[in-house]
This record gives sequence, C-alpha cells and structure tokens, in this order.
Amino acid sequence: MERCPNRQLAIPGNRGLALCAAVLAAALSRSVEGSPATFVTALPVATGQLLVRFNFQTTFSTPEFFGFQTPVTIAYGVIPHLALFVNLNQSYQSLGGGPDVAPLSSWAARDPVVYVRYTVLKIDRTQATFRITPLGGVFLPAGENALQAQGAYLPGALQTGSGTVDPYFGIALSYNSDAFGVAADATYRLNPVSRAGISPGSELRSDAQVETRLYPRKLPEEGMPGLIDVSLEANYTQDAASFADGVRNALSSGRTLKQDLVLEYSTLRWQIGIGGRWPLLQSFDSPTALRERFSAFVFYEYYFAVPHRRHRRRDS
Amino acid sequence: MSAAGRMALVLLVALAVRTAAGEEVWRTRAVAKLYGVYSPRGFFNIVVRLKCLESAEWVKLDLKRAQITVDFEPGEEVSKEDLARVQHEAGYRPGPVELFRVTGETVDHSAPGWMRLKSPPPKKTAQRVRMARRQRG
Repeated sequence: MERCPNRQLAIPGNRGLALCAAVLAAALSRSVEGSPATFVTALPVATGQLLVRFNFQTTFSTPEFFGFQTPVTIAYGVIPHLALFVNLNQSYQSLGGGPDVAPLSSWAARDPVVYVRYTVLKIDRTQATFRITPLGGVFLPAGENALQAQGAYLPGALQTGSGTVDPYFGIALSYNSDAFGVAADATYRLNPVSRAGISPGSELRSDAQVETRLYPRKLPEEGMPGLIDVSLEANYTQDAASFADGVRNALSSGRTLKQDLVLEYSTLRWQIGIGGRWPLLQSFDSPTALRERFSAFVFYEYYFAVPHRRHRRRDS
Repeated sequence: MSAAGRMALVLLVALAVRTAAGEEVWRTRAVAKLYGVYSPRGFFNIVVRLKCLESAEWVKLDLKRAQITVDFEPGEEVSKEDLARVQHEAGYRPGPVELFRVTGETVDHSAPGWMRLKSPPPKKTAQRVRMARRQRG
C-alpha cells in the first residue's frame, strides 16, 4: 500500500486506480458522515462543574462504507445560566474495497466545535424541570477538506473538515421529570464556501427525543439508586449543496431522518449508554449518493467538580 | 455493614461530638427541598456547589423525595440563604430550607444516601505514618 502526499490518507496501490476513478465520479455527499452524539442538552451544568463525555460510534453503509468516530464532549459551568461546550472529534472512514481492491481510507481529527449555551427560561418544580436554552459558537477548521487520491478530491464522506470557520447556532428545549423526559433541539451550521477543496453545504439539524425510566420502577424511600433509562430519538438532517474548488455541485444536497434507540445507566458521578441508529428516510439529489444502513454507538460520561477554594458562608 | 459494625459507628460518632469536658456539641442540619432536580446528575450539580460551602461535611441524597440533608461541622452556624445560594449556583430554583440543631446519637451517617463532602481528616495520615514507623522499627 502506498501513501498519498497527505499523511492522513492511505490508499491502495495499483488496484486502487480504478476505484479512485469510480469514487470521484460519485456524488460528494456527506450523507454517511454520521454525526456524533451531538444531541444538545438543555439541562443545567452547575457553576464550576466539568462534564466529560466520551463517545464511540460506528457507521455501516452501502456500498462498502465503514467508519467510526470518537467524539469527546466537554462542558463547563461558567455561571448558573451559562455553560461552555467543546466538542472534539476524531474519525476513521473507509470506502470501497473487496476481494481484488483495497479500500480508500482516512483517519484524522474532524472540525471541533466550541459554543456557549444560555438558559433563557427555566421552570423548576418538584422532580421536574422545563428549560429553553439558545446556543451559539463556531466550528474550527482543524479537519481536512482537500484529501486527494490520484490528483483528484476524495468524496465528502472521506473528508474530515469544511476548511472554514463555520458559525453554529441553535436552540434546545426539554421537559424532564423523574418518570419521563422529552426534548428537542434545532441547530444550523453555516458553511462558507472555501477557495479550495470540498466545501460541504450548510447543515440544518433537528432532533427530538423521549425517554423513560426502566429500572427501578419504584424508587426506594431513601438514597440514590442507579437508574436505567431507555431513550428514543429522531434526528433530521438537511444538507445544502456542496462546492468543489468554489464550484457548486447541484446534485449534492440531501435530507435524512434517522431513529436512535439508546439504553443508559446513570449514577451520581457517571453515565454509560449503548445504542443503535437506523435510517428512516434518505433522500438525496444524486442517485449515487452513499446510503447508511446502520450505526451503533457507546458512550461514557463522567462528572467532575473542578478544583476550587471553599468559601465561607455569607452572613445572613 | 453488619448491625454490630453500624452500632459501633454510631457510638464512635456520638463520642466524637462530645467535648473533653463531656458537654454535647451540636451540629447544624439543613434539609432542603429541591426544585427541578429529578436525576442523579442533577444531584451531582448540587453536590458540586455544596463542596464549595465551607463547613458542609456530610450530605444525604434522597432521589424519591427530591431532597438533600446536609450536616455541617460541629458548632458551625449556617443560614437558609447559604443553602439557597447552593441551589441557585447549581442551576436550579431554590426550594424551601429547614434548619435544625442535632446532637449525639441523632447524628448517624451510616444510613443509605449519606456521603462525605470533605476528605477524611488528616488523622488517618498520621495513623499511617505511625504504623509505618512501627513496621520499620
């Protein structure tokens, strides 16, 4: 196997030439990029609290696409109403391959996103809360949007970034109680057109989720038991047309609706979850766009109290 | 923990809150009803802020009642506003707080849900040093 000039890309040898040509003819769709577990929570992060969430997500698609991502989400409570979020991501993706052909693949950091979330409305009751939280930030161009093989760009599914600083904004809302919870969010990533490379189209996402407690059905009178919850989540994504070297690719936009089923176990300090994702709708302008079959993921979330100086109480 | 062990712990705690002169020492106990907290993660938000409150030593978390019980260091006074501030800084609307003074055998931290907010006192370290010296010599 030879190496491309870009160290992040491994391509096959002579047998790969035919595959490269076929791939480059395919639509530059990001349809199977697969989003990390980016459901934006509206739940509070305490002042001085640090929350770290590790995810591992795999994606299986046709034809012959496989990938996985390892996003890490870090949240910090700045003040009671304001939290800072950073989402770092690495991914591996592989396309093509077979008995006679080795696959194209790439492994690199994706664009990280930094945003702040502010709680504009909260209605807290006994064992229930309703919140509305707008958010805003940017995606930073740490990934690659010009990975090439044999002198031509790889499709969007193998690129790992947008090449530009992308404004990101949205809103999340949720109602949660001890018995069940419902939540929704809508976010928009505005992708400016980059001069060179593949420039993905702007992305609109909208998620809705419902969850309920499976165990224990009846809470003990005292103490803090571990909880097992089941969550059902729908993710709608709409991608605008992408650009290659500033030229619009009219057949690269698409719409997808995917369904998640997640099982979670949560304790006072950590939470672990496992889930699967199935596409319900995959509508692409290009007939050759890659289509996702199934995605599976696990995540682990840990909560820290950042080091602090204990302060004296205020005199009443 | 066995019943005998639990009883021993209760006696130790009871002894610990008595002064050398034999007078009973009181603690302030705060019981706060929480609004908006429905999950273990929400309770951890509260614990994070309680750790910042000087003299808060023990906390008991009750998920079903959405309530915390906080025991402070012996002889320390706290106000309801201190507990309200904890809930506010954790991101929640403060709920009603009740304050009590507890003494002696009523201070039992072996029941389900109690957790220590502070690190164990340095006494343990001193004990380890003494044990290490004995082993050496």
